[in-house]
Amino acid sequence: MNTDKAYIFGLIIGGGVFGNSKDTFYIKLPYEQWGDAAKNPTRAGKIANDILKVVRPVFKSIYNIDVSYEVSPKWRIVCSGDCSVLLNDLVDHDINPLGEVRKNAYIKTVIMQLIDDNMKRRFLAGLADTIGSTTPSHRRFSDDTQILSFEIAGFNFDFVCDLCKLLSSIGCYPDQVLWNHPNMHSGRDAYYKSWKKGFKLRVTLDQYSNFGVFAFRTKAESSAENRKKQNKTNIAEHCKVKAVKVHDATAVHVDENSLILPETIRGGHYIHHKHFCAVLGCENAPYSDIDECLSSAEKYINPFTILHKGMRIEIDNIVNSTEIMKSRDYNEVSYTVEDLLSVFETNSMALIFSDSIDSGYPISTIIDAITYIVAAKTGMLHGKRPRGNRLNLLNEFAKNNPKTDIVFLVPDLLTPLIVVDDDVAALVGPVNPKVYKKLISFDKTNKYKMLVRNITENDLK
Amino acid sequence: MNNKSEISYYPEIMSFIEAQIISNFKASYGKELQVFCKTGELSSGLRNIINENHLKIKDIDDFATSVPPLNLDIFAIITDGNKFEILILEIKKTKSVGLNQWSQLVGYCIVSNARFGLLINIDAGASLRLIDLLQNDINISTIQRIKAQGNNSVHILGMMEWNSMTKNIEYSNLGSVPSISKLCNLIWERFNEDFQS
Repeated sequence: MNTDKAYIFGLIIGGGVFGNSKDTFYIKLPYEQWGDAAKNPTRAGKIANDILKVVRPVFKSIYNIDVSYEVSPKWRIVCSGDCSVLLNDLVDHDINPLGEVRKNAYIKTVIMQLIDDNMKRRFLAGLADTIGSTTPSHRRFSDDTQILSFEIAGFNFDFVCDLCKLLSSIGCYPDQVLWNHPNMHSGRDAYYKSWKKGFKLRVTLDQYSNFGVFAFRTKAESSAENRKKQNKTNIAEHCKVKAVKVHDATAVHVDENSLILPETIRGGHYIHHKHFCAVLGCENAPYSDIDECLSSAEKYINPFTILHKGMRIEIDNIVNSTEIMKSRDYNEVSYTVEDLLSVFETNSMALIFSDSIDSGYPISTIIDAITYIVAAKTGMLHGKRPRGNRLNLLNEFAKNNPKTDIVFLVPDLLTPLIVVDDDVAALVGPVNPKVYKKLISFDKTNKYKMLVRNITENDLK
Repeated sequence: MNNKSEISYYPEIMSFIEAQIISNFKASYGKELQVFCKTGELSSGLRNIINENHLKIKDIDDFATSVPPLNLDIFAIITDGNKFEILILEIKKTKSVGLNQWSQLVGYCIVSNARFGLLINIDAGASLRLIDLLQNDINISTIQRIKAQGNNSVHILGMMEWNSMTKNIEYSNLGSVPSISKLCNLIWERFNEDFQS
């Protein structure tokens, strides 16, 4: 290993795509919008310049490989020539040069060879130049916290964990890791099928600028531009000392047992992004905080969906194909939007349609459900998302339609409530921690892996 | 091009070069090297480095004493504790470096007897003429000298670019030092010459 190879390995692990040829391979640059030549020709020109000035000479010098690039249909670096020395080097470092490398890469051997912080930075520069996204939409809540997001396709949880540890080891403590798992990408909707959006390992740009590096000028410039939008400087904390706060419950998703998930992760239910770190055995995971959260995990899980919105026919299908929902007796009740808003304004944490203090349907989620219904009625939907502020939308509707009722189908046991309209409907899952506690157990070989069994009628009686 | 002076870039360039050389030796050869960079006058600078760091390397005192006064942008002593090599960095901040600047580096290397030299332009490359010369004639970047006393001296030179935005050296593949890792290989070979022969 040397500093130049470390950078090349970073590029290849970030974007390398290998076929059977020993003479050509590609490095995919997922620059989509950010590098769109039609929208931003200046930046596209600079990206091309970076490839020719940074990538080409280093490949030529180390492996005598020629480098060119393609912009259409997508950005990619084309590497050609006798690649056999490079391929052998990759294999020697346990990197299998076949297919899309980052999806299956085992990077522990490479990381062991990165003998000091400088070498680690060279490797990270290669990764940041390929999969480190500086798209301005990566920010935490406001412009004041700009983010560099390492975007990783596939289900290689170990790769993400290893990369995260590597970043931490040079002081780039992650702001958050969005794991490619339904509990992360679809925490509230147990039936959302398009949750496979990849991993996002997010580091604040302040932290990365202090301790990490880019080799592409375009990335460094874009990072500097984004940081200029901040009115404060962000200081990241090490994972071990950063408090773990679980704000909301996550729904048990139908794909938690999917075979595309690695065995370590498969079958588990996760309540926080750091819960994954503990299950993966990361040395930086805040184990005592996770222990504490798991000791009251019943508050943070829901064996049903928390909210699912869809066409009425789709909701009917879900109800009819789920025994515990299908065999319920439903009582139809109606409320005006104004009534429901009034309950919400009195106590936004209220649980309704229940006689118990700690179980029932959260009014806040019901407000989300009826916002969807109202937005569908008024043509204010964008996909399944209502446009604009939910309370403004509901107040406006209540003002113009004071007598219009929202219809609820309330089940005889605490299974999901159905909010219905002509064409659309929504399911709202109940809060019921005393019952949910009975569903939780932990894997015998991994005490942090939480298992949630299916709920039965007996549990609810 | 920004208005920062050429000299203001010296510290970041020195720290970058130092870090790369140390990393490469540790990773490639398992060797802890020492790299001491300085700017300014070579002879007194070398003596200061030797005294400040209590260096006891064969011939280094003689070298420091015999080298003529020479004002350099950056120079470095690279040592494994037994042997040492001198690296000269000629830094420019100009639209493109040409034969003029290359000749300056060659001159410094000859006068100081430094084996390794890099011409580094900040945020810009080389003139077409220099590119052409360096691509087509290796004798311009690997210079073998037979001194009047009869002994040989070799100077191995390269041209690179300092990117002030990324704070990174970009390679031009021009000359006989195409990359920092190759420079380290050459220094390693030099340190092991006695064993090899």
